[in-house]
Amino acid sequence: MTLQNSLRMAALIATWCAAVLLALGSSTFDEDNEEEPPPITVNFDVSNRGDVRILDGITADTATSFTILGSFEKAANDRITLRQVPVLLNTGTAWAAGVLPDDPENLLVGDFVAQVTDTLEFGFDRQPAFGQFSSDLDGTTTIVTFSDTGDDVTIQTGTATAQTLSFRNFRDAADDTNRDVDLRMASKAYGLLENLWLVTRISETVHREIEQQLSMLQSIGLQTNLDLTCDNPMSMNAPTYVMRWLNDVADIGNAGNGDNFSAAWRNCLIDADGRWLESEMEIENFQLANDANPRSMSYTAEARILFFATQELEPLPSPAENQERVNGDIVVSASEELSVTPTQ
Amino acid sequence: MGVALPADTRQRVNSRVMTARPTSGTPARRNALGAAAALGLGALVYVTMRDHLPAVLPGWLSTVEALSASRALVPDWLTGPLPSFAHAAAVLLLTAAVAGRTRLARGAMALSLLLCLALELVQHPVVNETVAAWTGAAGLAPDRLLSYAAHGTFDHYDVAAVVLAAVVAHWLVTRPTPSKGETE
Repeated sequence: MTLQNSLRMAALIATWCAAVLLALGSSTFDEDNEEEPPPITVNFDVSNRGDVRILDGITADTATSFTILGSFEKAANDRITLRQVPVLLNTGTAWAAGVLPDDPENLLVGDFVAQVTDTLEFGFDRQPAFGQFSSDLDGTTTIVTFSDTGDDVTIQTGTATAQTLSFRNFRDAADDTNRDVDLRMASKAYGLLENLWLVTRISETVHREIEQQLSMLQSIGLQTNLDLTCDNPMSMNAPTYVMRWLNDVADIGNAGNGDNFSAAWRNCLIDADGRWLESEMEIENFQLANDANPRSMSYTAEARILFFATQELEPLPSPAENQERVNGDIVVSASEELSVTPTQ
Repeated sequence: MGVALPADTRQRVNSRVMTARPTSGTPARRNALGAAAALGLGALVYVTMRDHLPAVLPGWLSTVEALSASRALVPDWLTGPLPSFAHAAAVLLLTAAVAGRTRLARGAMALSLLLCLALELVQHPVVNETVAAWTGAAGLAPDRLLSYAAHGTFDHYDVAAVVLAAVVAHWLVTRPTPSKGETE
């Protein structure tokens, strides 16, 4: 073997050694080769500041107070997403509302107080697999229990004989004038919880969109409007969507973790949700979704002015008077903790 | 016009690489540059599309928000196997650059491909379990190599990425290169 060939062979061996070292070196940090990190628990807390009105086309409900406490598990490094299904609602969850019928023939009227009495597995438009809540109307308590099999719902009003309904029938009972008023109010309470949860998820949209605009917000500076586009092709009034970097709390000079942001919509149709939205929302203690692992991530979002259509709107210049909607002032807080067991 | 190889030399070699190329150093440099580009692609994937940096890259890169902004945009099915593709392409092109137009070339390329495939296949669950059981029974401390085989995650897409890299590298290495003066 000539010297040149010997050198070539040595270089080849070095190449192969480098190939192995490179594979081993990157494997430690390669997602494919890592052991699964423990799941992270996200605890959330949703509450109101002032009345929240929910119009569903049949009744006008006014939630005078509510606190939704709960948690869900997610993989490390995933976003905090309240769109997670299902979530667990804790026994501290309570909500109260006044119900007023739009239709005089609809006799469902009154004030109810409801609370989760056993951890409730909950998701939007989804039958809970387990859990229980109570609804109190004029001193009569109705206990609603979701079966562990997920097949039916048991409703016990006062000392009367318990009755069992399918989940669909239970949800529809609020509008069924042939049913007992306590059962209807319990159904109404559950439906209102779903509407509040639906609106809560707007904070996720804001968080995600701030993340997409961080560089732009940083380039234009603090307290400067960043005009964004939002759809509303049928509107007579121009839609506006403005985002602002409010204050540079942490990591001075950089828009990001720990900072506060705001977003304001007017006359805006959010394509992703197919919803008409008018809102001013502020996000405090913003945290990047893909930050270091493990991490402590949290944010608080307050929708100071909120108009949120609960169903996609007809293409009209403005929403109809009886349009299903939610108006109000809602505060959402969410924070992560490294824990395998959800907080009860 | 290219420089013609002596007839006896052409008979000795059996590789298209060795017969179709001029004797200039251009292919070796080009292959080396290709290997560097593949390594750059791998680094780019880790910096802009993955959540964790390999040890060879500076940690401060993970704090640059402009780089992290694209992570959510690229699907996992693409970011997962891309490093395997870049790694295999870099190894194969570097092998071609080193081996040059010698009789070693084909064998060296084949060995490099086998090595890259082996680095993926040793992460198969069967190997994982065997190595984990063996190291446990023998009381061996899991060094980097054993950990790679015991805890690696096998992915069919990674194997496919290596094969694809081999096809691309073969095409790059064997494609005809007009020498100076040959414009057509």
